[in-house]
Amino acid sequence: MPSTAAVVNNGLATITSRLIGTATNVPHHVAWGTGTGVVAVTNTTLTEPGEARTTGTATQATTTYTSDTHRVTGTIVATGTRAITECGLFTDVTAGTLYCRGLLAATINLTTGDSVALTFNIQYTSSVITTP
Amino acid sequence: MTVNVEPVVTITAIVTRADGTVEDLGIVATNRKPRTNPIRRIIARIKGI
Repeated sequence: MPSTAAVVNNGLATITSRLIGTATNVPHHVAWGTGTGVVAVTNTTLTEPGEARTTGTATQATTTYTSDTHRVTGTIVATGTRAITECGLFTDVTAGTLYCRGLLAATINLTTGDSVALTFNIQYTSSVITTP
Repeated sequence: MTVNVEPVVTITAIVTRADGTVEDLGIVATNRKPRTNPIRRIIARIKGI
């Protein structure tokens, strides 16, 4: 299964809203699910949400240039047998807006008590396009 | 002038089993474009692909 990931359209709105200071919720709530729907920028939730979300830790990290990367880490513990196929970040621990979604390259099979520590690295790259 | 900002998402996972066994799965999802062989890139550019 090929993996894909994207900051979705609503995630872009979250970014610009935070840049102008209107958004109050930070997109650092980690979720996983068992759906296999393709990743699209129009996604607004996971295909099949699984366990309750966990509030992750958000930091600035460096991939190419200083602090060019938004990093969120969070660990979710399985409360039963699970076959994890997707994950995402939301702006709230229960409701909120989907910011980023990923479809996993391979299913992660878990049983009760297993946990997954997910790290999301969202690097922002920039290029200037000069029009004549 | 247009400034094009494109997020590159890379998601990694580490599984800790109930018995304490740790499995580092590495990158489990990304939208990063795979690097192609530089020679193939040059040939593709010459061919106009």
